[in-house]
Amino acid sequence: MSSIEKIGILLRDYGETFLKGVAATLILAIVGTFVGLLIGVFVALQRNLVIKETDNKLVKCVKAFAKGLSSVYVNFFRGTPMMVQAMIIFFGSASVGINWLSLPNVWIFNGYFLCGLVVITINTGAYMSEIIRSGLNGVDNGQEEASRALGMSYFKTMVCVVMPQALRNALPTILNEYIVNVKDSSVLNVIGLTELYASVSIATNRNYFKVEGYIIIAVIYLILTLMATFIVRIINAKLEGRKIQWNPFKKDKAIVEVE
Amino acid sequence: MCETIVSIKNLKKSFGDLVVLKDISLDIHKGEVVCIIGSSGSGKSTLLRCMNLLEVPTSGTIEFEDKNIMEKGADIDQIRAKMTMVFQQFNLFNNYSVLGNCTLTQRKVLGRSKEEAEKIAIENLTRVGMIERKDYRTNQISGGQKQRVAIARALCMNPDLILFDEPTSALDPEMVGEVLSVMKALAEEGMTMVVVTHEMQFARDVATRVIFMDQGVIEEEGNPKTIFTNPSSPRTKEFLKRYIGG
Repeated sequence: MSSIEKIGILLRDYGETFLKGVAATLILAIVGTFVGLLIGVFVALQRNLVIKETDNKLVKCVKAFAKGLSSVYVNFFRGTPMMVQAMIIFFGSASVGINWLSLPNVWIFNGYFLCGLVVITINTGAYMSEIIRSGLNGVDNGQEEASRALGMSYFKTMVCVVMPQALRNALPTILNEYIVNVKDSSVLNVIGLTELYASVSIATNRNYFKVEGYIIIAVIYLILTLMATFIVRIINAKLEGRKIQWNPFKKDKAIVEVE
Repeated sequence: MCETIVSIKNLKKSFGDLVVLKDISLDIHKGEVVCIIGSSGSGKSTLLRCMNLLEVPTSGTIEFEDKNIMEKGADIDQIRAKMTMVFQQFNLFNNYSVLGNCTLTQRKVLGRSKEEAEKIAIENLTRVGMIERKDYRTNQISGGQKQRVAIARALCMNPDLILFDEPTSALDPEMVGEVLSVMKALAEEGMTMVVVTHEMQFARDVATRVIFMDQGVIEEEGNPKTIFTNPSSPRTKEFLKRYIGG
């Protein structure tokens, strides 16, 4: 039997298994990236707190604690493999009274999946905080100063003026983090959840078409990431005022700016 | 011309060991156009930035419309809305259009409705001659145009006082004129202004009072005619000699 035939058989008999895998991977990547971004914004603002001489003792202590805690969080989750984090969180949750396996099993959702979602979200949050911080550094100080000088509070300044520009600076990197998540969610199978990578074991466990199974998911991963890469390119071009060129041999055209 | 808007008493400011403002006392009255001149590092920008607390003074008091703005309970945001500022580097909000720059703070600080804010923004953009560019992005207009929008943005808050921090220093020479003429028109309409500037011509023609600062103190102040034609302090003489060769 040729490989093509084997692939055909796999797709015919286990199409639904692969589709469920794609759904699980996409949910992990999209939710993980989005919620991770929210965590990242929050943590980045904490890490950027400035302890002023004029603050009173309590404020100084709270600020120092928030800075320290967020720094530990970011360094731990960026400095250890997600696979290890997944194991610690999955097996460690029992000691704080969380039993993932007691959760109901609905379609692709179950305790393993939820735990994996928590792991990828917390992990992404750590990376996002650094991405947002570098985005914030790219916003000129004068923007904040002008906003404050016209009567905007610190909070309004952040929400209306500084953060939108920081997010815009960071957008390509944020989407890149999504691409990383599409691929890296595969390591979460160590705690027993079934996403695209793990779906191969289900599909090939009796027929043993291992190579063909992995080729199928490699192609699927490639399609998912290439799609995201293309979206990044469109958004980049939009932000920089260039027109997307569909011919791959030509560079994107610059739109001429007024004055 | 006697109602005092800002009253500064014994203001001191140091950055670490560096003393920038030594002992400044200054009153600014309604309708005045006060030009602050002096060489770089004399503390004139710091003085301006202390007035709206962008820099926190080391000691001294600042009263705005009879309220001590350095007091704990003072609502600094509402005070800044009445004492807006125009910057050397324009600092237009890059994520808004020209019109958006003029409406954002009106809506968020003064709580005006979108329609009301736009009406006031359009009035003020017309005043500075930027109405045709209201839908442009901030990177699509020139430096002089940016500064005119920044002035319109400050005017939209209906301030009692506008602080200008070297508004023409970052401009190409051919764009200085358009900004100065807008400022001159404002002065003629009776707007109270404090202008830190290197434009001696402007100070001489438009100011009602000129303050010469040197090494963190007010070395000399008076009406522009006296300062420019008959300064009493030798330092002022020396400074003006370098600037206008007089």
